[in-house]
Amino acid sequence: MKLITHNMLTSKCLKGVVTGYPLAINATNIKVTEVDFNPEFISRIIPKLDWEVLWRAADSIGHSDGLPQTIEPKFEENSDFLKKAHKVLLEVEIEEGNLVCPESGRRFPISKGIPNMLLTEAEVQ
Amino acid sequence: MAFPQPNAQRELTNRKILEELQLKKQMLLKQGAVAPLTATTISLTQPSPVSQLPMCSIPPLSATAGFPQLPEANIVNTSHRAALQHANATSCGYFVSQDSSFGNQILPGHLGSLSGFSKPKIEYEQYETPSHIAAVALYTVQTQYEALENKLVLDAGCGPGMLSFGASLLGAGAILAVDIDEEALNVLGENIEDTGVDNIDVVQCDFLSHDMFRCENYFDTVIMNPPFGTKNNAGVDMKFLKMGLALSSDSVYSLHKSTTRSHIQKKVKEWGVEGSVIAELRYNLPSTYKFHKQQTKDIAVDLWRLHHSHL
Repeated sequence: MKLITHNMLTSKCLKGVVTGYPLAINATNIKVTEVDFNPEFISRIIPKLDWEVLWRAADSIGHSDGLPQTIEPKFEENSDFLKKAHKVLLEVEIEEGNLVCPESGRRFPISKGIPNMLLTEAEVQ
Repeated sequence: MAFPQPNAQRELTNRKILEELQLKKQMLLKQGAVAPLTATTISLTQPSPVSQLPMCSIPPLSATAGFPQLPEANIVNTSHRAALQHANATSCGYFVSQDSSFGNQILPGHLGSLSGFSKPKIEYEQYETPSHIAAVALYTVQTQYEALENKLVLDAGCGPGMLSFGASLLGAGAILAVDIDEEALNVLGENIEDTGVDNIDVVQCDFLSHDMFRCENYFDTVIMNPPFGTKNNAGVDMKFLKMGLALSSDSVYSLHKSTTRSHIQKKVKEWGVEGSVIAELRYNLPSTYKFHKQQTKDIAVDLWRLHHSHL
């Protein structure tokens, strides 16, 4: 699971959970793979993100190095920044671990890079 | 197979290739060898009969002695071309006719080489998207609507990932592939590993359950080949469409049996969105389940484009 995906996932479909966001990350295995840098795509995607959540997620797994906590205006002209954002969003992947619902503590296992967000019928709202 | 290429250079190469393709297409059209790959919009107020639509189906294998039906139109950059040439040189050709699920798969070589469902499950109505359908459909989505390159794409009900890989080949920025079925996702995982494609991320979830994503209209483009909704799960195709619309900020591209066309037109009106059939294809469905009596069955399939009215 890449952090771009973590940034959009919630657990609010769980019974009794209101926002279910952001999910905490417990990572036991992280891999970093090189992905083609596409500044146009990264610039376009950044406004869609919850940047604070991205930063915290990156920080919690030890990958916030050099990543600013807030987005500056005209970020799209700062290629150094875009490269860092690119790395955190697309290159860092959680291979094994858990995502944890911030309200209920329900764990969603991540195995072979794929988080399992399936719920039992009894867990659904 | 990764596809590294600096953007500017890629753009230039793409443009050159597109020009070349245009020429080739004209030549082929003159020879009458291929049906034109044209998009058609169906006006909802004047529904046109199926027969009037231009077909972009692929002629059956037997009709084309050794002629690759899809010209190199699906190859969008040089690395793809090189990979295809390599595949061509090292394999016995595109056609593996003895294997029914691959028998009608021609191009691109990439998609044809992906693994499919190991044990299809009827409860999810798992049918593979044939690689040539995926290729033609996605090529149309990119060339007519520029809805893949540099876009954030969701592949809903991705199965082994045929559409995801096609979107990746056509330059998608990032793709999220979701499916409920672990086995299908394991195959997808292997496909990712085998191909080295690096921009597909996978989540196992029930796409139809609400609230999986932080907000609506998050993805630029949603692509899907939903269950047809024909076996004890009537209406599931419409649920997929509706959820796809909720999650896309632009358009949903979805494959449906042509026999459901008027039903979808009705739903499109009901939901207050815009929708049209942009290509008509032929799905040569190999017998996947025991209740299939014929070995393969030709099914007419529509590629729908649905989008919100304000666009």
